[in-house]
Amino acid sequence: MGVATIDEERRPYDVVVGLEVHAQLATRTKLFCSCETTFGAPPNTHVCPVCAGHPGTLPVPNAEAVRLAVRACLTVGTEVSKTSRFSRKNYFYPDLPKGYQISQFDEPLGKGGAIVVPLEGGGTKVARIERIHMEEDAGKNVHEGRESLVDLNRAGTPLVEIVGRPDLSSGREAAEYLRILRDALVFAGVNDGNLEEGSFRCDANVSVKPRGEEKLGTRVELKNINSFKFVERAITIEAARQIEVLEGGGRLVAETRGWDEKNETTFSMREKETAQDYRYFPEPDLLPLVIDEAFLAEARASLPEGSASKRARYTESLGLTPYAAEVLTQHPKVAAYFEEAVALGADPVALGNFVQAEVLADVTTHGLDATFPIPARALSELLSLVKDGTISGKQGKELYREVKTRVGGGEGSVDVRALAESLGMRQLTDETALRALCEKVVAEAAKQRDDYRRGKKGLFGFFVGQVMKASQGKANPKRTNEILTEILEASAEGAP
Amino acid sequence: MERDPRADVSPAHLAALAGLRLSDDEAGSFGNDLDRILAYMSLLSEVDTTGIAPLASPTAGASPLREDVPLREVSAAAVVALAPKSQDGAFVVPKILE
Repeated sequence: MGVATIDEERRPYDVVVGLEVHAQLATRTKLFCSCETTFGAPPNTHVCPVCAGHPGTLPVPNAEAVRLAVRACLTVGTEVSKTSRFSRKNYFYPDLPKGYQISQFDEPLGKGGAIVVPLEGGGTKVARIERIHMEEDAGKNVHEGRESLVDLNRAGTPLVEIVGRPDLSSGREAAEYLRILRDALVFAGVNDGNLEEGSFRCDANVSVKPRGEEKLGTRVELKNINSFKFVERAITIEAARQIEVLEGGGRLVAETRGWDEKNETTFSMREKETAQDYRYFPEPDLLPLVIDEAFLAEARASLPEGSASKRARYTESLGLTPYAAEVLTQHPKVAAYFEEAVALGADPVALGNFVQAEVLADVTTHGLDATFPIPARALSELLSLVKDGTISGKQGKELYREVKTRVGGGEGSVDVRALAESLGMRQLTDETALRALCEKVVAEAAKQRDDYRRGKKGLFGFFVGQVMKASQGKANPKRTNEILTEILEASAEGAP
Repeated sequence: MERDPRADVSPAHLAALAGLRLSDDEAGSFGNDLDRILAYMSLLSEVDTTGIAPLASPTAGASPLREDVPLREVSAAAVVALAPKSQDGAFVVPKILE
């Protein structure tokens, strides 16, 4: 009997994951007052009677926050409700000065929607979105000895909470879902995608159940994991822990767990007593939020092109490789820079290669902003000089560095063509001069010439090198090759 | 939202949610008060509201919206100055017990 138990194979389990994402809306001011939203300012330098919860103040919603929240809905196919309502979520915590958070409860801004997640073995999975609602963020507490320090700079910052259905089956799928969602929000200009600064936060509800079982298992909430890699690891490890407990005959408790990245384990933060009683009720200080047709149409019309659509366009109509398209759509500003240079006439493929090889390393991004080493116009001009043969590809790279130094040194606009000339960068393309030079090189290297004609074709590079040296690198490589071939292959007629 | 409103209104539960400590006497007296209030409010259930949308606000219309422009009418320092205790700009409160 004992043998049978030990030999019994472990039952297969399904992992069930649902994600809740809090994404900060990229506004200048808070959701219900005109304080600026900033990260890293000294404590309580962006507070006012409204966000500090003084009695007698009234919230007034930020139009841009509503616009961005509507955009968030549009990017993931969530249906925007014509009328939604704010509610009070009541609880006590020092970072919540009013004693309640203004959120949305029974009438959220948007319902439905989905994110299509690519699966490891090919194919895709549709991960449904339950709802998207608007709410204000809380402040921050720092615990110090027997006291806590409260900073309300973040209190009242506008958020959307995007609640996913428990449709995901692994840590990897969850990480993919988050990458796609973040990308969609960043390209829509809704969120700056910054996990480190907490403007994109994720909680994961994880449970396991024996395969085939209908009923969901006991749910554990993993809180505040600040990288996609850790989300993947934390879910994988938490699911394994849950299976271990069940297989060992134990019982799981509904609780909130944190992620210990050093030890790669999850740890219990608090048990969820009974379901929290937040006593939601309609916010009496705010009228319903009405999204009329005109507002919705405007939001639709102003919705920027998504990264997936850009990638398809770059490969299909601009001729880029999928890899190049991927690299150029890693940030909306990089894509915009690329597109600006294309619009100014740059050849997309040459431009794409140049941006990847030279420019990207010099680009700095912060949130939705990016700084470029040289303007797109200058880059487009530079590449046109390479394309028409005025300068060589090698000179193009040198010229890029020269332009970069000047722009970095504060020169507002650099005349790229004039700079190339002043630096003496000009390819030798003049047919007569180039031919004369090639003939001279061949005549002066009679031995190599004869060896070449006797079959030592490997010497061709030697002649190219000599021409380049004699022209100080200015000879047009393509024409040089052609002319040298002509001269060297003309042996039968006994030329030079 | 369809739950029985009286199910959650034991004085002990409400006191816990409000972070208050009640003596037994107080709990008893508040319990009686609450019973009377709820009994009075239950008059409302006698009205037939079938097919009538819940009214969250007596005012008709939509919320006005504000443009996303920073504005400072009261200095942040003045807000902090009202706190009983502050340190380097932060409000100081007794340590929070989880």
